[in-house]
Amino acid sequence: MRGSAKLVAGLAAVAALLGAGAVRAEVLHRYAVIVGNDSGGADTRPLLYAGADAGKVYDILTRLGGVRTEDANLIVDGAASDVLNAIAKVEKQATDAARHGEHTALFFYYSGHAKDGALRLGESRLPIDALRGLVAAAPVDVRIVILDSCRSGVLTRSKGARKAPAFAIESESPRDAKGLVILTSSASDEDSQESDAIGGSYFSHHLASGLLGGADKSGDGQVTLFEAYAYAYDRTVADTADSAAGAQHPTFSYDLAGNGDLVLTDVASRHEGVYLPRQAPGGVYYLVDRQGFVAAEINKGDGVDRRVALAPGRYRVKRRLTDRLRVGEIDVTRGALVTLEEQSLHDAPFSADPVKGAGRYDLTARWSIGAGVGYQTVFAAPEGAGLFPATGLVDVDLALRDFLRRDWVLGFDLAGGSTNSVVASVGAPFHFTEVSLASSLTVEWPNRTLTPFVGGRLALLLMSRTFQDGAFPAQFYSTISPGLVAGVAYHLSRSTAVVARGRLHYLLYNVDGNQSLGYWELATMVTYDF
Amino acid sequence: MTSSRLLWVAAAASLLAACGNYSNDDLLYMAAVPSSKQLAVVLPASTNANQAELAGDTHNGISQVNALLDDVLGLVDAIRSYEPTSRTDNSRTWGPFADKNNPGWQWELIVTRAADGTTFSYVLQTEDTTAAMPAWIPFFTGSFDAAGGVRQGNGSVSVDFASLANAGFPLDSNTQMLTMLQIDYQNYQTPGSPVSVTLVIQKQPDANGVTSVTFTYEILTDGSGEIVFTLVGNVVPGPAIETVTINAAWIPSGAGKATLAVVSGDGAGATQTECWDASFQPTYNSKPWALAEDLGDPSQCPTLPDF
Repeated sequence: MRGSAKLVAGLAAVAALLGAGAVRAEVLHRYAVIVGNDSGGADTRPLLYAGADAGKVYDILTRLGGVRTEDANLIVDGAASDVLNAIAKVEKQATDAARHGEHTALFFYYSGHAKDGALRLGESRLPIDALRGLVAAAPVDVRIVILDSCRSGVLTRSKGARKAPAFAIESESPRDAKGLVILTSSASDEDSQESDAIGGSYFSHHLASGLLGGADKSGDGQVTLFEAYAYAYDRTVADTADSAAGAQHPTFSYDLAGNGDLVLTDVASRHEGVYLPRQAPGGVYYLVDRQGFVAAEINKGDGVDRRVALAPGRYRVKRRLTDRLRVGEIDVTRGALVTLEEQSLHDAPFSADPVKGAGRYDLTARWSIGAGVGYQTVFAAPEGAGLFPATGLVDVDLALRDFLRRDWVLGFDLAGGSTNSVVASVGAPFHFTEVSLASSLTVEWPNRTLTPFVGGRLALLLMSRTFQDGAFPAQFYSTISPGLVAGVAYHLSRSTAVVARGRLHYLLYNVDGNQSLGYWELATMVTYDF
Repeated sequence: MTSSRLLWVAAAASLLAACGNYSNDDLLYMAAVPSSKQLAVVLPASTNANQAELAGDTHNGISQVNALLDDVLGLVDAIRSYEPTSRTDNSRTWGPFADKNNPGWQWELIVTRAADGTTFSYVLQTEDTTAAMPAWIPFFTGSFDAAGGVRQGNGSVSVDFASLANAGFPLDSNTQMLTMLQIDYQNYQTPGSPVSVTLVIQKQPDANGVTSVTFTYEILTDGSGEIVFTLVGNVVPGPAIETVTINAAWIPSGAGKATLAVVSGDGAGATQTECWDASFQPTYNSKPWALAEDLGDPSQCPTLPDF
């Protein structure tokens, strides 16, 4: 769930006006500072999609919004100082540009936690008042601030269909400033929400879909600020109306005296993407990328056409009817505007919804590796211990987080160890070696410093021993051993943690008759999250 | 698939995956049968071309004993290097294995544990699979009582060459003259003594009319040892059958002393005593029937431990 109160959406300027009455993208020298941070430091639960949202906005602005890559600053998981440095850099660039007579604009976007009047960037803070002052004072002609802020990161899965209220423009907003437009993702008394189903925050998702062309209500191939906001507002309210956290109402304030509307993206000039022709049925079209992520969600009316400026690639298409889906695929090639023909879609049951495809999780799943040492001993002494001596182990872990489900960890580990012991009954010294290859599924409860976890594990154990006096042949034993695992991770940094872990396993031994043995393991390791 | 089905699949996979020969019990059964190394006699080898006469006899006798142990127990060692073919609560069975050197014959070793948990008996037997009525022929039978604890106790082994020969098994040249080998050993009654063995060879008369040889030996942990050879045969010119003994003992360096005695038969009462140093060079020899070979005095003999 995103930041509580009115997290202000700030904006920067889009530089030039496009013809009469509208600020045209191509005549403004546009700069962008785009920030995403999943971590909000103490007392906040990590978000999943803030960084991805920022990446999406960066892509759209540099591809369609007239922002050159050298003028775009993308800061993912950075600190407040990184943001301030980026703004300072833009100020210097804008000052130089103004000296050459250029009109300039600053586009500031933030997705992440906000609390107690400050943006929370990991452990650092950036007061919203200070940010507003900085942007307002920036030496640019137009400033657009979009703030999609989160406080708690609560996940919302239900989608609402309730009729949403119309959006309102707060022309008397206290945040007004000359040449300044501010969009926030939610009202002052609301939380902003993320959704696994769309792989991002509702607001940023719909804003991005609008900027890609979904918001081009006028059909002129350009998406203006008002169009984008209106589209994001309608879709966000509709999607969150029935959510557990309640409806989320974006807000909008502006002061662009004399400048009229602003063009944010020019989807026509690129002539690349998907074209929904006028005769195509109205409804919401979902364009799903190869990872299962909804790249664009376009609400098309009857009798109008829409251009969706998607990047080249293959997309699955879904349109939802009351009793079934219409699905298909479309290839967007570079430099081509591909028309989506209704005949290319086919009926499919709701169970075939491509948005629910496994690939969707690729967006948020992340790998981590770990290495450490442990100690294992068999419970059932003396029989068990006499067979399998206590052993030190070296352990290497590979984990995939949030792949199957949020906070679920699919793990794979390889461990090995050896020791010397004696078979007491015959006085035979031997060298024991063990290798285990295992997979585990755990659930974790992430917190700022400590993350407890618990789950199940299935291990393939390969054990052998050789006798030092050569009097007996080498022996081996292999079995599959189910067990439980629990532990806690202490986070040294965002990516690094020290883990203390215990395992309790069942061990079936069936050579000298069937015996149910058990063993436990204790281990400590260092992990690194990618 | 439901959760319960998944559990059943996991349990079945666990059972199927549980395999191996990792067994402490197997080791008990294996340890019950003596190895050739366990019963071997160790005397430092001699490179002296002029070693003492009785030292040479001792080396020859030990070589004969060790070669025989290798022949007989080496077969058991080879079988035992594999995991048991089958297991029961009180037995382990290796084989049957086909005899690659003797097509048509197969071998099987069965070791059985008595109810007391410490006494084991075993039989190595062979079978002619080409015979009209194949039957197992016990070749190597014995028992071991781990009365002294871990691998400590006393045992006996009988090796029946005659039965194999009678069944038509092609014995090699080293063993075809033998009829029976009896080994009794213990490795716990004498402190500091890893093994004490009596080995009796029954054989068909050789050129000297020898029909049996008995070796009794004891090896101490420090490497010193004693061996007594007893031969029965017509080894002294004359009509009588003699019983001749050679009693040899040595210290870890190899220096030792041996006494040959004609106990009965022609020349009864005759004795020869010889001592040698660590290089097996004679230091003392008293040979009444060849006085010219006498050498040194008894003080030059090494001090031997009590056996």
